[in-house]
Amino acid sequence: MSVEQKLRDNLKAAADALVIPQARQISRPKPTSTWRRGPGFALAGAAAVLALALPALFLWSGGGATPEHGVPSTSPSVVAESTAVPRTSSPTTTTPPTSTTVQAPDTIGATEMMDEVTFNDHTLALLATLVDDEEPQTATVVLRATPIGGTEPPDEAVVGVPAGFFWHVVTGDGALCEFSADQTDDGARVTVRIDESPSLGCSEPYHFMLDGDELTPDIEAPEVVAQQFVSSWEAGDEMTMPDLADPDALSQAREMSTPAEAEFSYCEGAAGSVYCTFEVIGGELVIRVRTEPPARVIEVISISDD
Amino acid sequence: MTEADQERPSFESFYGATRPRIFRAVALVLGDTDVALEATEEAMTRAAERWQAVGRYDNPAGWVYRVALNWARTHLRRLARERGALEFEPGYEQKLPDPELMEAVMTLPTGYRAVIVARFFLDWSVDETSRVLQIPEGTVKTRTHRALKRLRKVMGE
Repeated sequence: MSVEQKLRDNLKAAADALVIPQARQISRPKPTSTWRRGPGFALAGAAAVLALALPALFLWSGGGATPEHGVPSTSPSVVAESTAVPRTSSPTTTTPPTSTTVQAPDTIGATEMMDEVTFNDHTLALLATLVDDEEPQTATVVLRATPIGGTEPPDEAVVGVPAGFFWHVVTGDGALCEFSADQTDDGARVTVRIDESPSLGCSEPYHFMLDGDELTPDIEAPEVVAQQFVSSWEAGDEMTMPDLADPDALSQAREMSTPAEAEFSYCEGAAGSVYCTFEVIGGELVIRVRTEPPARVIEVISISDD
Repeated sequence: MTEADQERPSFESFYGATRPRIFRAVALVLGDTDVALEATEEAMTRAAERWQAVGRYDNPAGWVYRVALNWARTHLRRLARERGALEFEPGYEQKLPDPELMEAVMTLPTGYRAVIVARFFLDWSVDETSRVLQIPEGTVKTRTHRALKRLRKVMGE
């Protein structure tokens, strides 16, 4: 019997033996969000700007503020946070989703501002850009820090990985679960959590440090660093790669061809570093990441199938 | 109702007839029952939302297969989560003609498995697989060839 026929027989037998879970009806309710005051909050520009920007989405929970668009906050610690109720899936019987009308496709490159706040002397904006109009349409979300009243250009950092979010989710109601900033000794620490999908709810927090006018991802998990590095590399994101890797590793990567269809497999620990393996066409890509903070890529190894 | 609407199957009948097969295919590719379920339901929901268009495609099941795999890929990359596992009926190993071969299939890269499952489980041609996965026919052939080569090696042929 040929390997093709054996393959057919095995795939069919395995598929027949699979337990098919009961269908889950995916609902798409609108999350409700509220703004709340954080410790040491002074009712100045930041929250007022947000309240002005998204009046339909948020319930103003402060008092006594006079909205002044673009006025910087003088507070040393401002927390502007929205708390969205994650959308949940509830087990139901196998009811199929209901058919509705066809929607016009969006255009690649279309950008929507998800939110904008003022923190100290910067405006912090979250922007979603459509990068793939094939289903499911994906978006890259970028955090942009623009100095207020200065001549310095804005700095940007990708939230998560490029093309890491669903366009219709991040441009929908309640897409932002949290957008907050705290002053630390090293600068402002910005936290972002974004709705991932109707069924998954809010993401884990993404952290960024704003030191002076420079915005950098504040990442501690080595496997996340490895994935962000590979995703940035695949996307040709020269802006993000230096934030994630030491110069030597960056040089190694630049000497190799850009990986295609890289898929994360697993990470293995070693003394002071972890090795994260990605499947790529024609072989594997191994990314070594230093575990001591700040976690950074320190070596890039390509392994060919041949 | 137009004549075209009468000819096109309703989404409900498509869902009932197609969901188990697509779920099984997606699960075999992903090796994760939970993610396969999420991905299939998400893709079916999107098919429902666009049924006026998707229902007219030559292969609506192919569209759902691709959307489900794309969704899962994005989802897994972002979450950096470890893969889960497939849930089988008890004693399924005895039903497999060659468990070693199946084990080897599950070690193939996901992109290769998407092709193998499309070709040998869903029985789509090279041309159909190419159109569904939106990859060149040459890539379908290369991945099939390489995957079979690796499987033959495992089987000692």
